[in-house]
Amino acid sequence: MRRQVPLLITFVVGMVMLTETFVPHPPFNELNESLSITFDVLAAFAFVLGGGNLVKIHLAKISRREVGWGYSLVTMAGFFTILVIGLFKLGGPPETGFKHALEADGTWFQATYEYCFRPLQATMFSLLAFFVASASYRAFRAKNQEATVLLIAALIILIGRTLLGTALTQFLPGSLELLFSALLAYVAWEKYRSKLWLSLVGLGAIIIFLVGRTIYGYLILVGGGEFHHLTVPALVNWIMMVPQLAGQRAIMIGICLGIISMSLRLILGVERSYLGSDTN
Amino acid sequence: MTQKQHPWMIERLQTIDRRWIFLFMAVAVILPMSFSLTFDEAATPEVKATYQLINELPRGSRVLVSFDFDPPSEPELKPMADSFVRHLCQQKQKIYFMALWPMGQAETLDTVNRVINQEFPSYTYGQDYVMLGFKPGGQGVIQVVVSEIRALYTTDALGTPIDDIPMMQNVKKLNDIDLILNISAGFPGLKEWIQFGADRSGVAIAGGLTAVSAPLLYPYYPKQLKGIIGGLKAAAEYESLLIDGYPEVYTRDSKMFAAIRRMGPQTLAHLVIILFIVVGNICYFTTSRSGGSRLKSLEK
Repeated sequence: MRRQVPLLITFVVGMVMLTETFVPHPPFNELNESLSITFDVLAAFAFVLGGGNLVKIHLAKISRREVGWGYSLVTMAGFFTILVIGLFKLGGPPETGFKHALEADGTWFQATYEYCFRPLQATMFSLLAFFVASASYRAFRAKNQEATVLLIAALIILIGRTLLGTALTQFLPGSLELLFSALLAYVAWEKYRSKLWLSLVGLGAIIIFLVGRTIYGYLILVGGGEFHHLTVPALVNWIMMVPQLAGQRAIMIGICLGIISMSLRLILGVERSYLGSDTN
Repeated sequence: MTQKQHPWMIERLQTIDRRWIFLFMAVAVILPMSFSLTFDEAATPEVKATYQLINELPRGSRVLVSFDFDPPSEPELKPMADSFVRHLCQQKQKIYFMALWPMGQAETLDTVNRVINQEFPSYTYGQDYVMLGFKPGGQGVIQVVVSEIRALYTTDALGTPIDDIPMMQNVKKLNDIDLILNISAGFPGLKEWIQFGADRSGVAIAGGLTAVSAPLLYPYYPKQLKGIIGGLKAAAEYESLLIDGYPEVYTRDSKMFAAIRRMGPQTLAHLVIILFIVVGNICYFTTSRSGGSRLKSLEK
């Protein structure tokens, strides 16, 4: 019984939510709204649970004088100070009393947020810049083919995100780019014919892409328009909108299939790990 | 077998103390800040699309702006949040602020105090803008406001009953909103707003997010997501569009355009990182030719 009831609840709720997606009419849409509100109420309790857990862990650490208990003391002092200030809505303009809405000017909650919480969090996050710089020097190496492709793409994106990206290549006339592109296509064709590369399909795709872009660009230039596809900003745009997008879509489709499969397992009661073990 | 001796400089670079790297980065960030170094920004199509979307809204349209971020992402996201609000106020739109992140309400209040109260004093609370505040539940909150806003929001963030707020009179559900703008630093954020809010209600959506999370949202652009502002550079591009769009109000020197000012340090920091990557790889290839096997084994 201890397992059957939760399984039944999961099945009913799952089926209601699933049905509502395809039949957004009463009673399913009303049920969906009620269940969503229940979820939001439960999410609010998660804050209480999280706070309680934080207090429990740190108080235990302080009472046992474990290594780093001083940090726990600071955490608890901060936690209770903010909790009291927030719950009792302390501070604010003294002429209108000692309790104000948290949004009022000069409340202690606003002051702690503005002068403690915000700078502390921003400082922690800013440290990333230094670690990224150090990691880029020590770890970002062209060790193999995959790493080299990643490195080149990253460098193009990085340069493209700075003024250097525009300054380096923007002056290039579109016709010169097309000429270079046609030259690259010719070199690729020669390699293709001599079968020096094993990846003939990939090379063929590159040739088709370069020839296609050259013809397309030529037509735009003849029509009096502007065309860039080898400038750094154009390359950044291409990386973001073609290979990056293709990769993202593939990952997303994979994740969605996984979610569908896991949801079905949960609804049908095949996956029961969320119930815990029988001994618990 | 004796290993080949490398030039002393390569040897030194290989074993450089990481504090030198930190110092380089600090200088790269501090210098442009000291000299107020700024650059011209040319807007990308995604940023232009967002700007156009807001520009083409009829006056008095209802725009929901959700602040789903907290202080760590503030340097990157606050400039775009401010720009959205500035643009909406210039266009005389009605703004409905809300937040899915606990600190989102504090961020909203900061923008309201700095942008609306100082730059647009004629904007009246309750008639031109309202702060609905933070509600826990993430995508659950979005699902509820799609069908009934009052089911969750019985009062605004200041405690005023929703029905007493004039601009909430005819706003019952998300469908009554004309545009959703979201500024997000992760979960719940723009992705959830698209999946649970915009797609279900049919309301147009655009948004801004951090540079690292922007690529995750490109699959939704331009059909489900009408515009993306990804990272500080895109925020600076948006500010440039605002300056070009309202030359009688804004100039490039305005202190209010934080993204344009911050692009100086970011540009130099990026250049330093590029330099480190190039130098690191030169050292790697120089040493791996002779003592490569040992080095490779170490790196594995």
